[in-house]
Amino acid sequence: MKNALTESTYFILISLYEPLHGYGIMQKISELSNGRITMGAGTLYGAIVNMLDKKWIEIYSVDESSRKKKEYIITEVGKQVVKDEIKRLEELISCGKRMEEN
Amino acid sequence: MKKIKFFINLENEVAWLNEMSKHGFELVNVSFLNVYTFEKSSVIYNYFIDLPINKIQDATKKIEATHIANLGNRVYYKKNGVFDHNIDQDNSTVYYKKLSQIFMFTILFYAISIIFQIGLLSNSTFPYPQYIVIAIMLILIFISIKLILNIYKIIGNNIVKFKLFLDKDKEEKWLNELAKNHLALESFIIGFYFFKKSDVIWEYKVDIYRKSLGNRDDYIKFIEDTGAQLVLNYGFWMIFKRDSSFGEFELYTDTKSQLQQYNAIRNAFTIVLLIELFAIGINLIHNDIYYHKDRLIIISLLMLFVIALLYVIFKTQTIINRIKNKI
Repeated sequence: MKNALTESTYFILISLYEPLHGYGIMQKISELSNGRITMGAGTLYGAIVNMLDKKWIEIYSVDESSRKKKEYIITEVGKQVVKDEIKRLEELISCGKRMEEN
Repeated sequence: MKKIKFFINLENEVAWLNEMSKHGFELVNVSFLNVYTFEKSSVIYNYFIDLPINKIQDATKKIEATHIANLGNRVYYKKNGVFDHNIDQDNSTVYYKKLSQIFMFTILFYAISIIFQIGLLSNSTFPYPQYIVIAIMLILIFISIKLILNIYKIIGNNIVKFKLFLDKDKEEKWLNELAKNHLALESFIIGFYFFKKSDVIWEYKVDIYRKSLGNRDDYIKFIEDTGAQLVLNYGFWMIFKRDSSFGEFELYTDTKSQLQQYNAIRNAFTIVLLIELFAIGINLIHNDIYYHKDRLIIISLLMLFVIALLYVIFKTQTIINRIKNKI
């Protein structure tokens, strides 16, 4: 079985099914988790660098202006990682429920 | 007629040039080392010194006056009439900050020379000429600090506090405490923190840059795009600020990145500690230590620093352990 994703990694991946820039990801995650998770910019940047390295996400577009704001999007590899994680989580839940019912 | 004069405040320089003009001397050139060349003239001129730091801005702004000379970042103009524009506020801030950095480097240079002179002391005999050099260096350091303080007064960062921190959390807490009282940190130079009165209450975050974050400029841009601003950046040590009405400002929100942050701090201090111990070792190798008091002074100073470092490393390790226990 593969290693579990951290909560931040998981939320960044699922928010990137549409292209977003850094601040967009932070807002999306807060929206997806109903305000439970606020992601710090430092944590997010570290995670993005790491995931770009693993090719789970890629750069979608670079802003023409001098600030060169980048938008990111999930790759096929990343989508597979999310699928695997969902499968893992479902297994965990069904396992737990089964034991609880007995 | 040639004159050599040094000014920190550009307003004073312009006032002096205007005064010279009233006495019938017209500025015709300014060259290296602030050599002002004047000529007799019956026309009364007004002067203007521009600081064109941003080139794009220059194209849109045209100064209708006679260009005299360029010296460093400064461009001198004269005109028989009144100048109706002022130096761009941002440009002058950049100019003065650069100027203060030059003085900071001279201070560092003097400090290194002092250490070098102390090193020579033990090989020298009476009357110890090194003491004279050290005294001169100390005076020059004192003057440089005075000049830096003056420069910051000009750009309105007139509240200065001296403090040395080894602990970034304490520093952060102190800055945010002052920010609540409307004091906004603007710059830092060798222990001097410069503040400006501010209507906005900023929230400050001290950040330690680590290699694993990749390109540093990219990182800073990324953080700035989330609504924060970089206040200062010396090597791996950076300070960001964000308007506190934006909501809570936190850079690291998960345990993994918090751990990386504190690990980086511990490792950086450990490297400094090793360098210190190496320096002490070199000083101890000379077995004539008991005959030379100055060497003993150096060693005890280094020892004090070592104790401070050990304390910070120990404290950082405690924080690391606490975070680890939370997982």
